[in-house]
This record gives sequence, C-alpha cells and structure tokens, in this order.
Amino acid sequence: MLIGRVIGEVVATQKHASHVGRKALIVQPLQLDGSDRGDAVVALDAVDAGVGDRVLLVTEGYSAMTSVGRPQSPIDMAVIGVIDIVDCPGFGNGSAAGTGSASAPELPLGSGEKLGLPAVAVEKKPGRKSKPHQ
Amino acid sequence: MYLGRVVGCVWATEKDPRLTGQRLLIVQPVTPEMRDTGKRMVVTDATGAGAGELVYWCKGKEASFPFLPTEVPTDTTVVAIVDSLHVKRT
Repeated sequence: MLIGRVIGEVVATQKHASHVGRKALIVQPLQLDGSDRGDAVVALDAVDAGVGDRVLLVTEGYSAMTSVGRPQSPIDMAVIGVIDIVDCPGFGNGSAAGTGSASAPELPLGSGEKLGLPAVAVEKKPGRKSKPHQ
Repeated sequence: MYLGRVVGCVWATEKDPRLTGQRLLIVQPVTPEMRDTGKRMVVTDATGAGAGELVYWCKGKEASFPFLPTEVPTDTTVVAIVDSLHVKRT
C-alpha cells in the first residue's frame, strides 16, 4: 500500500467491462518525504477521490479488485482511501507535493497538533462512502 | 495499471494453445506527459488496440482475467484504449 497524489483522470471509451462505471485516476506515488516515487500509474477509484487529493493506493490484484467490487477482473491498482493527515516527521502535509524537506522539525509521533493542523472533526463528503457494485 | 503506447505487433505460430487467437502487441510504457519510460514489452490485448494508440495495461495474474474461462498464460494485458488524459500536477 502506497501514499500517492491524484494528478489526473483518464477518459477511455473502449475498456474492459469491469472498468465501466469507475473513475480511472492518474496517481503519482509519493515517498515518505513527499517527493515523487517512480512514474505515475492508473488506478481505479473506490472512494470518490479527486484531482489534488492525497490517497492510499493498493498495488496488488486481490485488494484492488475487491475494493472496487469487481472480483475476477483485470484490475491491479485501486485508490482505497483519501488521506487527511500523515503524522510522520519530514512528510509534507501542505497542499503541494514535495513540500517535505530536511529542515522539517523533528517531532515525536502523535504530535500532529503541533504541525498547526486544524482540530476540527472531518466531515464526510456526501458520496464519499464506498458504494458496492450492483 | 500503467499507461503505454502501442508500437507494434508480434506473430507467433508455435505457442501455447491457450494463446491461440490472442493478439500480441508491443507496448512502450509512457508517463502522463507522454515521455517514454522503461523498456518495451509484449502484452496480450483485451480491447482491439492498434499501433499508435495510447492504452493502459495491467500486470500480474489479473492480466489473464479478461479471457476467462480460458486461462491464458499472460502477465500483461491491455485493458483499455485511452481517449484523453487530464493531468494537473500542482
């Protein structure tokens, strides 16, 4: 499972039937310092993520197929979560990718509040819950 | 799945019988910015893609699922032909 950033969407008319009705997102996997990790990939969307979101990406068949509700189908990557906070020293929690830097303060685990993050409860967007297929 | 561009075809006469009737394409992996990345490879085709088309392909055991119930011995398959990409890196 990887952390990635959604950087785009793919439009495809001619595709395998199991991909119909699911967004195909272009996701750039990220390293723990927030920089790019290899080339961008195409992943099906299981959680209604959008461009700019930082997401959880599975890169293995079984988990990808079951999370989008299409078992026995040619799906090897899926977006299975939208990340609110990564509590890890050095990881850029800003809006832009790659904001993490060596000068990030050394903070112990569990100190997310000290990063100046809002303490409000995260409201669930309508439609963000995963919808089982059929 | 990964983006790629179809650059050619492969014909093979003597092959596993389960590959009979399968089209074999040569695909060059590309980035969303259309730069070539990595080496070209042979993939089976589940969509009817032709040379020059932008596609995305999947890797691993899942690559044989479009051909069920025939268990085609393949590890990479084109699963969609891309019409357009919308990329916005921030």
